[in-house]
Amino acid sequence: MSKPDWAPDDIDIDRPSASRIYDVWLGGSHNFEVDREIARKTELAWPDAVRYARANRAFLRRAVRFLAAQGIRQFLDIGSGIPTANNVHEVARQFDPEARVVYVDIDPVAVAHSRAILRGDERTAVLQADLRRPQDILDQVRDAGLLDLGQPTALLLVALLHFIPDADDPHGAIDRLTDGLPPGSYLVVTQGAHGASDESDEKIKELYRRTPTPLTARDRAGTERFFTGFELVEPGLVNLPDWRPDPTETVDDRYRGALIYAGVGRKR
Amino acid sequence: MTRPGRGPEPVSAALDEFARHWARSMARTSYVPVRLDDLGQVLLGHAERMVGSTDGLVAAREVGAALVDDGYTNVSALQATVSALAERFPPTTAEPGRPDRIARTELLGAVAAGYAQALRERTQRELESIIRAVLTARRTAEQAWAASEARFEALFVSSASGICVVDPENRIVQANPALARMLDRPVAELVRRRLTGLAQPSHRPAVAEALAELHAGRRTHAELDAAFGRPDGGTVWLRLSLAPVPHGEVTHLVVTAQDDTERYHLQSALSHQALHDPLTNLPNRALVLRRLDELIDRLGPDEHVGICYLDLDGFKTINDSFGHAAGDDVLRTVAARLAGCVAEPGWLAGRLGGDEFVIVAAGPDPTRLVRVAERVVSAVRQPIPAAGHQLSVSVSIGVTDDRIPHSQPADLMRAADIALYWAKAAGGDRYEVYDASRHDAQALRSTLATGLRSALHRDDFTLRYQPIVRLTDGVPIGAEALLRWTHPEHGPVAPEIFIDLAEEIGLIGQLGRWVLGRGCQQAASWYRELGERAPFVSVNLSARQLHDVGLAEELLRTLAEVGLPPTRLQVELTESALLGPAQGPADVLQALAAHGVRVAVDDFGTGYSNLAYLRRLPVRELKIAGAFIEGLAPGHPGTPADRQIVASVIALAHGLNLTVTAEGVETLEQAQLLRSMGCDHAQGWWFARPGDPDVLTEMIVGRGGKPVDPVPTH
Repeated sequence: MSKPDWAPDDIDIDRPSASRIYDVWLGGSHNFEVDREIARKTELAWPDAVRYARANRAFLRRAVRFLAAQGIRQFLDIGSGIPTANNVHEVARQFDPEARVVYVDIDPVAVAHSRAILRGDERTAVLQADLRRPQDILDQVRDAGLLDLGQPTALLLVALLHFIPDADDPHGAIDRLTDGLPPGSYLVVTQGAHGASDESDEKIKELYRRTPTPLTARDRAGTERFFTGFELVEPGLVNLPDWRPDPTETVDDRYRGALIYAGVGRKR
Repeated sequence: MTRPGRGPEPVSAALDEFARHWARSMARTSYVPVRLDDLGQVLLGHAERMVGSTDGLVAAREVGAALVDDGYTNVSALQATVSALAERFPPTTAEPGRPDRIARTELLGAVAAGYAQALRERTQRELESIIRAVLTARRTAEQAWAASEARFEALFVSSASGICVVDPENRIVQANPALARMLDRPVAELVRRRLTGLAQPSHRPAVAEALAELHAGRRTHAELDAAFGRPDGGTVWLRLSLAPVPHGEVTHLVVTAQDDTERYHLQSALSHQALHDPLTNLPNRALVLRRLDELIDRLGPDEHVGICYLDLDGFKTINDSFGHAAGDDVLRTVAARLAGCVAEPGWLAGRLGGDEFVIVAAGPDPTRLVRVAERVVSAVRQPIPAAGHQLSVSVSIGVTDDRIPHSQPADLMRAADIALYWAKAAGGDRYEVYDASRHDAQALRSTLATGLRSALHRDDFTLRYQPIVRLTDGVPIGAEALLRWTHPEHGPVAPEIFIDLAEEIGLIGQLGRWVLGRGCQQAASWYRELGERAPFVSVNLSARQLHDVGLAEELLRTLAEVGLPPTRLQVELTESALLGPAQGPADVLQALAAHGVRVAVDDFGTGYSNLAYLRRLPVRELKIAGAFIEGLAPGHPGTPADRQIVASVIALAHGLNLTVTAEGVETLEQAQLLRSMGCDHAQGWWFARPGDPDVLTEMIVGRGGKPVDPVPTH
């Protein structure tokens, strides 16, 4: 029997992808013209998009360093995208070579690429899954056999939640994923609140409507709700570059005008 | 990378200074998270290599490439490097033993070339890797597809459930063999046909509605049962389960079907059992009543609904005499004949239970039902073979239709039941059509009969007294006691109604005794008050009372008890009561007359006037019926004849030494005429209406009498 003609198509590189747009801004070449076009147009609306990408990446690095210093050795990174330098496992292993990381992304290309890069690495795994189906993530994580979710684990949702509207119940998904985690586990979140101006926000939202993952902005209250059951560590929920900045690093990540929340919470 | 030893050498210090400058320019050009000091150390190494290399150009190319490898892929990093090198490299030209062997421009060109080459290679590598990733992802997806297709195929093709996918226009785009088997059509024929069109016409709206609900997104799941046609004309019952499958912009529906035909048939059989009588296989009471409801609900404007209520005559005797098996045979045969008589479509013959059957019918002509009832009566009359006998059976039928005042099912059943009772009461083996007025009269009689019994106990009866006057002077000589009854709900009831009723239900004896007793009491009271002037009381006796052998004794005892001389009592009898050869009545009357009781013949001339009784019975007075007196009024059409009759009766009476009382005297003219004709006494509205006993007393003591002056006869 042939594939039913009413069945949906899966891999579509004619549509731009958020993870490859992000790669453009980080100076990567893991992208196509459709992605670069969105990246360029976004930069026209908000020239600091590149700085934002760097800031987000730098925050992830600082957060993982912080978590590793707290003794966390298991990381579940959902929305991991295209791997670049200083991925979670690389940062974590600076503290403990035994640290284990499971990368999860909805984009099958990002997943395939990540698997290619991490082939042979026994302490990482890459899963294709959707945050909106948390039970599937838990099932796949269990099947991968890398993480013991009975031990303190960090759930990383960095530059992910603003791609998930409330209608898809991201709060419920986070509850489901963190329900079984022991106290002392961590939740890491970044969430766009607003860009440089209402006008540019609208333009950028318009651009991202062409991707499979349109943008959803959230205010402080909406972002804090993600941390229900968690206690925000110092300095709380702040603009990305202000979360435990490291002045010795040579990253140009001081974007202007925008507010992108970053926070790390410890499970009570 | 060589790491130079730290020392005070001026060359090293100058290089160190240069590297820090270079690092400051390079920082922030690309996303390379590294501390400035660390970057400075890296760049110092690059600078030393270029300075110390035997082939400066090769070293410069390698440094350019190293920058890309370290992640400085943003071209601003190259720009910063070129600027730094152009301005300050090498930091000292007069280095002992190390002359400048290459020109600065060549060095810059080599660094740039090395960087560009490396960046190109890195870009190509990355592009290749992402394309590989795309291909891998596709392959993975295809494998997943293949796997899911294999699973799907296994499910789809081998499933015992029928499965199909329908598009937004309900056309089947894919169907599995199980569904094809259920609908008995090849898969190829199913595809492109509308699922709704395959359903039986009466089920199409329900199927279409369920599909529309899901297409519109109002529901995400639906289940329903529907009948589908097969090419051979058969029907298959499918239990459908519907769910949407998003497919880009449009949504298809997956429909799974379970063949439910057997369960449906089982249910139908159960439902047949629940609605049919197992002995006769006729519809049972529940189905008959349901059908009756349906017929009434769906009745057309010119249609009527009617029912026959049937009950076999003497069925209990058949059961008792021939056994229940014979009884069952009879019931089965009657049921079959009944069904044979009811051939009209939409009509229904059913068994209500026992030997009761019913026919419900609807149609434009209500008289057809009567003809069917006729047919049924004669069909049942044919001998029925049962338990080795040929039994004669008959049936009674009550017929009614919706032209009765209320025509709800319960009303029809009740009316037919009443008509059935009439048929039974009339001897059975017949039908009777319900008649509301007949029923109303019966119902009233039945109400009154009940009331009559309790009225005797409750003393609801009263006696009114109508004076009987002497025509010569208008003085009352007697009073006829007239029984009156006021029903607590229906009000006054006419005596002709309740007297008949009392006869019918056997109360007349008691009632008659009560009247005699009460009348005598009153007469005694008058007698005590008025002495010789007191009127006699005249009481009507029924034929039945007259046949009561104890009447005379009882009456005389009563007279003694109340203290009334027998001469102050008159009994009135109709001619028909006096007729007949029986000796009893005569004896009674003789006994009474012997004690002085007056005997009057009531309504003289209206019955069979066999005057022989006048010879043998102690009659004292004749009462001329009011009907003749009415004719005495001038101008009345009956006047000449009536006057002759009245005159003849008076003459006859006087000839036999009897007195005459005229009843129903309503005018002065009548009174004067009667007086001139020699009539002795009279009673009627002209003198007084029936009233309280006091009226008599007042008339006698001189207040309210009506003298009748003589007038010349015409």
